[in-house]
Order: sequence, then C-alpha cells, then structure tokens
Amino acid sequence: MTRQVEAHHYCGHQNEEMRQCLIYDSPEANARLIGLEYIVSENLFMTLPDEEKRLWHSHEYEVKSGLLVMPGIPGPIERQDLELVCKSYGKVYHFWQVDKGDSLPLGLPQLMMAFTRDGQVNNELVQGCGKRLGVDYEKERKNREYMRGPEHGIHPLANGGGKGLKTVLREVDLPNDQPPPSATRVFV
Amino acid sequence: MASTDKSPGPTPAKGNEPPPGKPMSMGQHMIDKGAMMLQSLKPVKQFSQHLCSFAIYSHDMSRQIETHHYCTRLNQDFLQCAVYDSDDSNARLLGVEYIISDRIFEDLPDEEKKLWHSHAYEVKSGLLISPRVPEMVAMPELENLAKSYGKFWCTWQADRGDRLPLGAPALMMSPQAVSPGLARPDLVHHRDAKYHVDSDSYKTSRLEIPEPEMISPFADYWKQHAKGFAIDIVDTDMKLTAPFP
Repeated sequence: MTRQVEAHHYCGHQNEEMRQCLIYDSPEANARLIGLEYIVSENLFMTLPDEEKRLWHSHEYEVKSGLLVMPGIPGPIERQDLELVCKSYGKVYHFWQVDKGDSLPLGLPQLMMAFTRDGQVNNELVQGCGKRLGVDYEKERKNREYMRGPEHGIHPLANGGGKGLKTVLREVDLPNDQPPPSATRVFV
Repeated sequence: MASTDKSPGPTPAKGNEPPPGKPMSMGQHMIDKGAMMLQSLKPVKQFSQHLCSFAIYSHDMSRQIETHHYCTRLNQDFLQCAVYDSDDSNARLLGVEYIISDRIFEDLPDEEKKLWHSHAYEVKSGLLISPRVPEMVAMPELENLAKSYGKFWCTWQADRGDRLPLGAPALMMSPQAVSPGLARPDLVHHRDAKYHVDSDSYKTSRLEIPEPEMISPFADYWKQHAKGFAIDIVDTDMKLTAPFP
C-alpha cells in the first residue's frame, strides 16, 4: 500500500457494461503508457469464477471519496457516469513502475488494487493532483454522498479478498508436440 | 491461484462472441460524445502508426493471434503500443507492447532480456505490415522496427474463448524462422485477404533491411532454451499504512 501512483485512464466502451482503458502517468502528449484497466458492471462481475473475482477491485470508495475525477467534465454530467462507475469493478495491470524511477518498463506486470477506505491514500499525492487539476476533493465528496455502490454490497472476494497479490514468473516446458527449435528450419 | 496457463473456472463468459453486457444506452453515448468534445485526450491522440502482425503465446506456442498495434513514439529508441485484436471500433484491447531499439536493449540485465523478443524476422518475412501504407512510405519505420525488440503482455486471452479478460497476463513472443515460431499459414492468409496484400511478396522488397548484428541469446528465449513463461498470481502480505480493504 506504500506504493501509490496517479493514473490517467482513457476509456472506451465495449458495451454498456464493459469498458477497456489505457492508463498513462499524465494527461500530456509525452505521457507514458503504464498499464491498462478493464471495468465491468456488477452483473458481469458476479458471473466471474471466484478465483477471478479476487483480481478485481471495487470502485465505490474511489468515486464517493472524490479521488476519481473526470477532468474537464461539468459536475452534473460527470456524476451521471460516476453513478455507474461507483457500482462497477475494475481489473488493472501496470507494466511500468514509474514510481520506482524506472526509465523503461522492466519486470513483470503488477496487479493493482484501488483505495477502499479513508486513511489509505498518500495525502501528498492527492494534494498535488488536486492543485494541478483544480479539484476540491471535500466538495466532490459532498456532491457524491447520494451515490450507491454495488447493489449486493462489495463482494468479499473482490479487492484481493483482503489479501495482497503478487505476480511471479515461472518457466514452462514447451509442450511435447512442438519440436525443439533446431528440428526444422525455413529459409526466408 | 490465477496462472497464465491455467484455464479459468466455469463462467458464462465463454465463446467467440463480443463481451457480454447490454448494448450502449443513449445516455452513455451522450456522455461519451460530450467527453470527447470537452476533454483533451492528448495521450491517446499520439498514436501515429497502425501495425498488423502476429504474436505467439510463450507458454503455448501452438496458440497464435493476429495483432493490431497502435503505436506512439516517445523518442528515437522507444515506442509504446496498445494492442488490439482487430482494427474495428469494437476491437478488444488485448494488451500492451513496448518496443525499444537494439541500443537500449543491449543494456538490459539478462533476466530482463528474457522477457523480450526480436522483430527482424517478422519484418523481413513480410508478416508485419503497416496496413494501407505503401511499402516505400513504410520503409523507414520498417528499418527501425527490424532492429528493435519488443515486450508484449497480453491480458485478454480472447482466442481461448474468454469473452471477458480472465486470469493472469501472458508473455507473448514473435514469429521466427524456426518451429514452433513459424506463423500459421491459415492466419496469414486470412489477414492477407482482409488487407489485399501478399505477405510473401514483401520478402523481396525487404531483403536489404539491416538486422541487429547479433540477436541476444536471451531474447526469443524459447529458441535456445525450449522454455516459455507463465505468470502466477499468488498471495502475499500487503504492506499496510491503513486497514485493507
């Protein structure tokens, strides 16, 4: 939880209940593509196998706390969309650990989680962002008080089921029916 | 827990159809249109190229996919690409590929190199194309790409029938001149027919394109080691600054 990043999502809809997003580290032209997110409605989330549910996180706190904003969109319209996001679940992988100072996308994909309650987020991070984007988080929190999270409550398996999750690399033997590379050659 | 090479548990979200879910509502369309007008979408407006090629799952090289890369060049040595399964507006976002010059690649630690693949064969064999771009216009970029290395994480195994992105990410490899890296002819024909091209014919025009003098033995790891890679997602202790969740 000590490692937190500001993330700029650029999203498109597959349909009303599913979105796919590219995640950048800034909203500028030279922004680095650091990861991606898939967002599904509560209905779709419930169809996922239990094992899969753990890889997804809830959005209720992020939205209601004001942390999640849609820069440049007037409040009333923003809130129309956020009402839906509030009930949704997301799955995020980051490939480039820019907070570590990596100048290249090294290592393994990282499964990311979202904030789920007060006290988790690094205040410096938030203040910096608020200043740059001109966001008054306290005001946003009040405006969004009326919003409701998932109809069935946040699923207990979501958000890692409350545990941390990490990615580990494993070498696998290539299946036997594939001849070893030296067996056949093709000349281009 | 979740692993690249483990089939996800039973779910209705299986098959070749588009993702499950209700069609877009009018309200949502309007929000999107509004956002497109009001927001500066700078990062995603930087896509300067569309490349179409093929990729192979490193943990199971019998599985190959057609890929559509939408690339942004950050500097002379670096491209970042959003990878889709088609060039349609409803294309699935399959993953991300980063492409670096051989100059940058050489400085990576060996453990990191293992995750990267070379592009020389893909380019010179005509498998990689810049759809609808005349060869002459594409040539300078093809020359860049032929000497580059890529790292491609696929987070949606749609070819396995996942209608939603399930499981752990998969490390992808590039087609090569030897089995099991040879591109499947049926996939190539299907792609060629769609774009009215003949990949084979590019071999001649691309013959002279320079390749890296030596491709590191750690890149295209399967070639020298007959091994692929899978990712496992496992429990760990989360360092906490507050209760979670």
